[in-house]
Amino acid sequence: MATDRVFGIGSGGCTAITGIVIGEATITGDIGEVKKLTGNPFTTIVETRMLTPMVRKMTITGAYESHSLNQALLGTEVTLTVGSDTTNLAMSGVAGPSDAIALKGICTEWSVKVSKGDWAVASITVEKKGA
Amino acid sequence: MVAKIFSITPGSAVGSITGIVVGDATLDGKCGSLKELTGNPGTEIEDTRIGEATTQTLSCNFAFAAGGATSIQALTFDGTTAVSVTAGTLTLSGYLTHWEVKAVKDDWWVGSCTVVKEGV
Repeated sequence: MATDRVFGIGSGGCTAITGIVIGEATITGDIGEVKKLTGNPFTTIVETRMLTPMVRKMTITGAYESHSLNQALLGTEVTLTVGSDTTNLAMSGVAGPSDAIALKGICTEWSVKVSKGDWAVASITVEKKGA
Repeated sequence: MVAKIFSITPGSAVGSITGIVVGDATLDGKCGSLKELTGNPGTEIEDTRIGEATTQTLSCNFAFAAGGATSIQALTFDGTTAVSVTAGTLTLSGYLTHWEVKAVKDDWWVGSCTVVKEGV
């Protein structure tokens, strides 16, 4: 039997957005600034040090019922969580595999977009530096 | 006519994360800075040497099984620890510079990572 892969979105969101139907969510991790010591001959790297910490960012976007996205939220700590859809049957015939992404970090930006003839969409991004 | 390389072979892995299905992967190689000696007159290059170290980079995007996102989020960066990435026939052991997990409402979750190896 083939391995079941993680699919879709189940529960998740953040306290600042009520009733969100998450369309997509992304979490990234990036290395900080790296200082490298080249050797002799200097086509090799002898030693590497980290200068600035790693950075993780997470963004969720979706339709919503209501929100409390305001100026006061920026710069404060917010937790975003998104779980996979485990209700759809996977290839094995059992519930879909469970997995999740989550990040508790500083809210760096949010947006609310309204469009004529479409659902309003809210988005929020949090960032955490260091381990 | 000799058959050309097609698609991606099974058996890919990112560190300890196995059971992944690679959608695409790219292996890049770049020379570092080049040191060039211009001749006399200065309209020609007499000699060329590699300055800063060569860089190899492997990036890949992949679907994954349960626990894959959790494992990806646990990856940390120290600029030195080698993470071995195999994406079909492409392989590189280097330090991690970027990872990503993207969840979409009606599609497979996609993990991404980039490792870099500097020097020989």
